[in-house]
Amino acid sequence: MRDGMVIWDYQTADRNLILEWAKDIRLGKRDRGLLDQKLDALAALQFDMASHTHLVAGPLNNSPDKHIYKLRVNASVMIRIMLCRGPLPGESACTLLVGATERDGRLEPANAPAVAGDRRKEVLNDGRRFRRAHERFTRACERGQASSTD
Amino acid sequence: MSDSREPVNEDRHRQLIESFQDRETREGYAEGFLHTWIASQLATVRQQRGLTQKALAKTIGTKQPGVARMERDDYGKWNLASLARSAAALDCRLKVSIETYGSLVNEILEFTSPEYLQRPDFAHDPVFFPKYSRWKGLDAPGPAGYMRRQMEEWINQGAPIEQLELWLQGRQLPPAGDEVPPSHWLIRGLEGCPPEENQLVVTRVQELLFKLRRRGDELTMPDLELLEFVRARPVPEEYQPLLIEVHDQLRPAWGSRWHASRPDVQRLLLALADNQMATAACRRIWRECITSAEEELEVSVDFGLYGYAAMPSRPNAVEVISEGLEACFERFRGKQRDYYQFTAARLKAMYQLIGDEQFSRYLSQTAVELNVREPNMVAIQHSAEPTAWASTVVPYKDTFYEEAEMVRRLAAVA
Repeated sequence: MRDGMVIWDYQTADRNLILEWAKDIRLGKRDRGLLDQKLDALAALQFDMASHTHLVAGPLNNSPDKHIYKLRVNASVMIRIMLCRGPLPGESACTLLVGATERDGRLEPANAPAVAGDRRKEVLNDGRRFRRAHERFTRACERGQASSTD
Repeated sequence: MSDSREPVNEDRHRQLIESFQDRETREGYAEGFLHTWIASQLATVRQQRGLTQKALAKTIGTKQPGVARMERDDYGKWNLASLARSAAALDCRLKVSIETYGSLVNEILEFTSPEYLQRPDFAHDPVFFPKYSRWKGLDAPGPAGYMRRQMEEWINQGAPIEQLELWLQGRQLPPAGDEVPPSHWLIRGLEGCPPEENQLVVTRVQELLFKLRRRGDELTMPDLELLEFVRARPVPEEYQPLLIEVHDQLRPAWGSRWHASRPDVQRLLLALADNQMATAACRRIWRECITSAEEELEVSVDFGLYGYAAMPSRPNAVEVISEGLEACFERFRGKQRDYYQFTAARLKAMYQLIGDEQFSRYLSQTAVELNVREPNMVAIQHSAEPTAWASTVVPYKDTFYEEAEMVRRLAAVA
């Protein structure tokens, strides 16, 4: 038995693009801890309650795909991760599609919702190829730092 | 049966312990957890009371948008006075406490659904009301506590059978993932049920088994959940006669479709095995399983052995099992297969029966060559000599220890 939702990361060519984004924006340790907590909370609260408490917002209007939501985490930067419910039928899950930040009401990258829509379609077509089980940011980023200093 | 959640939790526990070694990481996590807790518990308990944001706002002297803000994960500006007023309006108290990070790890692992945040109001607080205190763990957090409160209320209303049918269909259960079977929630919900109230549950289950016997056709998903429940909460003297009637009704009706390898047949046999008294009817069923000439003979023998081993007393066990095993080997030889696979479950059943002196002698007189072929399987190699069941054991991996130990003890007897 497993309670709560399962969280997946988008991947392509065996590269976890969500983790790569997190490493690129150089999140501090405190922010990584906060981000991990919000994803744990999303898994536990499930979509309806997470949406009620504004942990996730959406569906976004500025995406052609009307199934894209954003995770809102106000760390030292305004983290906004584009995600969708499922998307495979019958599963209690959500998939992180694109990492983004927000400043002055503008997303960086600005096309994050549109890209998320495209990626959601890819996951729908081939879930095994385009996503993998979510990896915690604290672990993955520390591993990345360790390997870069080696 | 092992809980498949355990390794996941162990893994998660280890990850949290590792990441919390860093001070900044644990502080960031703890701050986020506090915010999530305040916002989502306020919303959860308000909904539990059936209150709208507007109704709560009126009670605590603010406007609806004020409550909506307090229920936002990113609000971050709660003050003690307004939280204390909200708690009081929800017939609860506010608790503020300085805690260790160790306790946070446990809270994170236990917080797996919104129901974990629910709290009963004073009128349902078991500490103050003996009516509720008969049920244990009624105030438990999480989905289990939620289910107990639902079932306690159900029994107070006379345990209407329609509600039990809805639960068995998977409806009105805690939203904790589709893969959790309905029977699991019923079992968890009744964990705190006092014996005198459990009788009403037994009666309702009997009524459903009776309906199933009268229907006498395919076993649907709710039927299988009912059988799983019956297996987990056995009451042999109440359930056995009905289960035998269901078996005797279905088996001839299904004819050639009756196979012990079918999950629905297995569910029925297991429910009976764990709800049996030493009656001739049960012995007849297990004997049929062990000695029958079905295609799926190995599985059938498994269930026959399991059923026999679970009987309170086992007269003629040696003859029946010897006969069944000989039949197995006869069929096995006829198929020219390289080896006959012995599953761990079958070995376990045999080991339980080894307490029978005659049966031990039977095993020791025959010859076995036991050889572990795969991590999850013991293969008994075919010997040209039916009297040659060997006794050599090759443990394969640590994970296989328990099965290997059983084999070793069997061999020691031989």
